[in-house]
Amino acid sequence: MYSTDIINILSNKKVLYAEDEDGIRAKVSEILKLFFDTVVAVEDGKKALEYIETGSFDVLIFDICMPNIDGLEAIKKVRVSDSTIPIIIFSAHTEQQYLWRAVELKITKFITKPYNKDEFIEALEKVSLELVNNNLSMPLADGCIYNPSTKTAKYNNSKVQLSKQESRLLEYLYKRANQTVTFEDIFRYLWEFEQPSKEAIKSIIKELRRKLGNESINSRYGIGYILEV
Amino acid sequence: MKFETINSISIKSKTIIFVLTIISVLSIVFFLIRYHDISESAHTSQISQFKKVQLVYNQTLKRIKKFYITRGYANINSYGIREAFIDNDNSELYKLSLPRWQIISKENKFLESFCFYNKNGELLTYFGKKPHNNLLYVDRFKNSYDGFWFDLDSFNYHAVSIARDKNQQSIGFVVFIINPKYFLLEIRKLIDINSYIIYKKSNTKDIIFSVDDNISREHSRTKNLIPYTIKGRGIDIKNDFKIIFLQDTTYWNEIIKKAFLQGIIILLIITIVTYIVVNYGFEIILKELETTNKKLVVSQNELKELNQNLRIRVNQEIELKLAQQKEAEEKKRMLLHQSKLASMGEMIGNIAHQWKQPLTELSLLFISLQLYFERGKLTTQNLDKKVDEANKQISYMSNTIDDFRNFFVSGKEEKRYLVKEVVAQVNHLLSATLNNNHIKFDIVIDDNFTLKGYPNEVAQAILNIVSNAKDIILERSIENGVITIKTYTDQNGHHITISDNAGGVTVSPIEKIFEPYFSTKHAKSGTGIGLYMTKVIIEKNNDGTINISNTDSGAIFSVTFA
Repeated sequence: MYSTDIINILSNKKVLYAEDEDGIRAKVSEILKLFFDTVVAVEDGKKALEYIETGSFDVLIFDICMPNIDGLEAIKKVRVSDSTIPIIIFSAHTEQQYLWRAVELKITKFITKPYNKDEFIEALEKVSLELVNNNLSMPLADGCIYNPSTKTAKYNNSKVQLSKQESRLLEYLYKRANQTVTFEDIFRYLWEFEQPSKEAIKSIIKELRRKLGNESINSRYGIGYILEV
Repeated sequence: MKFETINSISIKSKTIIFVLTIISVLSIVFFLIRYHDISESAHTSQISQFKKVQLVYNQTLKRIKKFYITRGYANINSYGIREAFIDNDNSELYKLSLPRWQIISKENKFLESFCFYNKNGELLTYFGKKPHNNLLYVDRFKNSYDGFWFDLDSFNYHAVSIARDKNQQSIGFVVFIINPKYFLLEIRKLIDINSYIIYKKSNTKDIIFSVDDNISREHSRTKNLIPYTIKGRGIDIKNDFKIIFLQDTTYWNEIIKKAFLQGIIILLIITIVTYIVVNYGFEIILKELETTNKKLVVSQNELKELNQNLRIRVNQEIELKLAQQKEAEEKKRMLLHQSKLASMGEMIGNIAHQWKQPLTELSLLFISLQLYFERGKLTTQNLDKKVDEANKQISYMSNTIDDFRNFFVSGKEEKRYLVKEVVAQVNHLLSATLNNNHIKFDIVIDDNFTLKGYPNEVAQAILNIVSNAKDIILERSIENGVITIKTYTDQNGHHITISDNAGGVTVSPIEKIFEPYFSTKHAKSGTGIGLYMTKVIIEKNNDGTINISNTDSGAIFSVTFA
């Protein structure tokens, strides 16, 4: 099943889900857990924004009608600092005005209640592709090719499976290819607030280099790492 | 000519005769009135003349008495007169009095005699016509006297003065005898009227005096003279007499004659004019009548036509009225129907809100089931759990429908009810809608606040008002929308107030919002019947009143029950 394959991209991803209705939040969370590594569910826009501060989320799923700060307002705030994070809107509203506002906010998918499975899956697939910039096979240095949906790499004609942390970091760096990614960014992305030592990052990098070749990830001494494509 | 000639002449003659008769009668009446007026004034004038005559007679009597009595005493007091009386010296009396007679006789030609009698009434001497040898009634004269009596052969006026000696003893009488014609002459002189005196002496025929001898004859001859009688008093009843004066009625007769002639002339003129007018006017009238008749025929035809049309018109009007009535009823029915549709729409909206969550949850359960199954992770336990949850949602939805249905199948039973319960019912139905739109519904109601009436209807009214407030809050994008419902009781009754913070009603007059089809809301959310029906429910069915006013933050509806 191709779709399942693509959706598997999400298996090492962290999603923030904001919905004020308890029953719906619980059920959607349960479903999201089937696809995502981590699901954080909050009941309003304000809490959602607090969580987003950590910078560790890969995908945002928002309801529009929520107390305190509504979904669209929260998304607007998110977009100020992050223009790329994929966002899905789950909403009861089908009105045009919301759709137009959603377009401005670069929403990946707008789903209205009640949901159906196909729409749901389609949204997740779309998000998956967006997360990997539509690259279902990522060429790395030394002819190494990484597949984000299976989290495996082909290197020297052998297939290696990456751990969750490894694939998560690799995909993070790949998305920011040819850019230096600081230790802080990596810390925030992988561990949120609980910051272990740099050694933890270095050990993951070391393992990645072992599986994908030394040239795959370069160090920027004292700053961080860069993945060159 | 439509009128027959004979007929027309007959009518004409009849009219002329009729008009002339009326005129004649009127003329006679007029003349009679005039005649009566004239006789009346003649009579008045005669009475006044009679009074005048009487006055002249009385005054002449007074004047002449004074004159001759004074003359008598003047003579008595003259030198030698008394002595001559005492001495019965006739020649002396005559000699001494002659000059006086000469003067007096010239003054009045009706003075018949001037005579002297002794105290026994025997004639001493006289001037003029010879009088009676003895003074009649001599015993009566204690003082000077004047009056009429008959002596010898004539009826005369006598003025008697008494001569007295030093001891006041009567010593003789001085008498002036005056012809009564003098009085008649005086009357004629002063008021130009002829008169005569009749004295009736016993056993003899009447003695008549007049200035002119022919007066009495004239009296008998002409009718224009009307006799009037004044009573003259003599010395005794035997000597009483009558003064007859003849009033000339010629003047009045002339006037009456003139008036009669005038009447005749006027009558003639009017008759002629009337004849001309009627005769020639009749032709004109006939022509007029003819044209009028023509018009009448036309009018009659029109009337006939109108009468014929009237029934049709009345029927048409009735039909129209019935149609209008039917239309009005239809309108009313439509309004009710629309109102029902509107509240149904509103309710469906509320149900949709209520169902949105369970439907979403159901859809999620199905997605879960599918996904678990696809992944081979669907355990019996998990399936049961999901089915249980799905059933729970389905029964919740089913309950929602029942709630709404019960709410609208209104019990038509009047009873006492707790407003808190009614509002709780409303809140139950609207909670999903209000929650989904983040509108707060504040309920501040006393636990014991009860009303009597139809709780379901009042609940519908409250639901309508709250829904309306909700719509306005949403339409105006009010953040932190709040709808507050409160109750209180004061001397005016029991009040339920429902207020919002949506900025208030901007229409003027504010009561307009209760009119049917009036809606300030966007077409999609309001039909304009909700508040109208609310008013109807409150005021017509539940004997309450509903008012709207604005507060600082929004509108407030006050529902009051006695």
